[in-house]
Amino acid sequence: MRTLFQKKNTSLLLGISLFAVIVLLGLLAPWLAPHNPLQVNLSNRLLSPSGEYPFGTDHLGRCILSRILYGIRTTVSIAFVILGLSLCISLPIGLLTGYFGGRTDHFFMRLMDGTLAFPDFVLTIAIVGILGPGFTNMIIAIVIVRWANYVRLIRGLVLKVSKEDFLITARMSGNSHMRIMRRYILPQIAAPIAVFSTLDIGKIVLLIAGLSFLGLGVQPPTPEWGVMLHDATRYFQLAPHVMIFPGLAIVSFVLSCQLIGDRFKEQNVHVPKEV
Amino acid sequence: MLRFWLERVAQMLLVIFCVATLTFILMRVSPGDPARILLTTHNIPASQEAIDALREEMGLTDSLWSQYIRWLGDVFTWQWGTSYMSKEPVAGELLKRLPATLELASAGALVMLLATCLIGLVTAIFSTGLLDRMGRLMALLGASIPSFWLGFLLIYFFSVRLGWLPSMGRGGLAHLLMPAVTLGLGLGAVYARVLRTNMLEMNNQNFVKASRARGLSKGRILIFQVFKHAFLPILSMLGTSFAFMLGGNVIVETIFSWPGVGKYIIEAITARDYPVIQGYVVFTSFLFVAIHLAVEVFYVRLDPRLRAS
Repeated sequence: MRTLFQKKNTSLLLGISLFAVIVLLGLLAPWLAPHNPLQVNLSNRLLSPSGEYPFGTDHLGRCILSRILYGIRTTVSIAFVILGLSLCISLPIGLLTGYFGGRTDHFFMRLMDGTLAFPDFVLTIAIVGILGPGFTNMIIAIVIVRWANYVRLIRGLVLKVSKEDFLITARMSGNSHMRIMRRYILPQIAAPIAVFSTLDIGKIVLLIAGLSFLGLGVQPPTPEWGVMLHDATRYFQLAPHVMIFPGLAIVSFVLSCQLIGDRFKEQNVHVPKEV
Repeated sequence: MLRFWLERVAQMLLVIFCVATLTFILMRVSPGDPARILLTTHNIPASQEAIDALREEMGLTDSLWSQYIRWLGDVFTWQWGTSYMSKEPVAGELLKRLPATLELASAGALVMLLATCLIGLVTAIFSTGLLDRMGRLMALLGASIPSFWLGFLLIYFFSVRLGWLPSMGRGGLAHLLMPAVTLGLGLGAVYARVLRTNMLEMNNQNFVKASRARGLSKGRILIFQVFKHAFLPILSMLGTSFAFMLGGNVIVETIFSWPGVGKYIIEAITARDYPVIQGYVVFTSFLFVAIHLAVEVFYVRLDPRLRAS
């Protein structure tokens, strides 16, 4: 039992440190990057890793390491923006539907069942496809796809808290609905939402990279991991380093989120099981 | 029983209705004039008269309501217009590419099931120790490795380095192998973890204890009781994961130049071929609704408890 516990602790610690290191690298990118990530130099194209270019150069002679470091800024900040927007929409809806129930609740549940019936990727591609490829439309599409997951989670958490004794007491002592939600429910559900969000950041990053890889999301020459793999499509058979390093970057970031979330999922901090 | 199915079908028609409405709204909100795009696609100079004439012809000058009603009618009669690129009806273009996509998704589902059973069984039997740790690592990686990167790695090692497998196109089994693995392996590793947990939980169930007390062999208990019951929930996820794979197809088909629906839609989006894009949205919603319905029929057959209610 004890060893089991310790093992889980190490993986959580590993996840948190990996996450922190990556975010830190992104913040310090201007000081750490050896070159300008947008500097094209055609005489240096497709160079293998060396002292001058630790991860080599891409088809336009740009430094891959610098592009990956700046890519952290692009990808992770977009992911946080998407997460924030989704929570802004879902938090009020989840709170109200969970707390009051009734007809509105029924309506939103049906609406969400409809959204959740479609796999994430198909729906995002459909929306981006209609609105047109690009940065803003990608964000809109991912928010439309992800919000229902949060509403379902938040609603479930609120329903669970509503049955607790302290909440019944709070209600009986004449607190207003607004005050009950703010003072009693929100603090209770904040922690599980935070955990679920970390798990989700990884998924959002995968969506961003996937869309950008298909040419539907972030557009070149912006340094972003999916865009880098998109650029690598035609050259990786000759120079595999152009795809290995951006791919490793995506995997390490998503893995760090998984490691953090995994621990909580096993501990059952009411994070609903996802397919 | 009849009422149950009628309700199901009504619900599914409602889903398609919602999708059609959402598509209509998004199409009107999206920037760009379809008439102008159609003209530029065919390299016709987009003069104002030409645009106006075409708008009239495409019915874009009618009121929004009548456009909407006409669109709804078109959706349910499978008349989704003609592609700007090929000038062929969209429904036909999509149906033509469906077999390739279904082939790939089925192969992916098969790889997923094999990986789930293999990794799940091994890690459940050796549930403490090195093999189990590796299973856990594989599940984590399976959820973290994007399919486009896995595809690149496979192509690099098996096509470029070793020269064993073709890296693009559709053909025999050799062509199918790498795309199917790219599609199914990650999800298989994730489900293997679920299977392992289910099996370990089964071990403490009374009916398993009873069989053990009666002296049945370990292997028999493992396969016919523990595995069988632990596997059922996984089977119920198969419908969802098949739908998931039809979505994941878009990336895998693009990497391996697989001539299916997914590759087609990316080409259409790049060319701003609006009829194909909206046709794809409606088409996939029909497809998913059909899958969901098939899954329910399957469950009701499989589980007698559902038949009673």
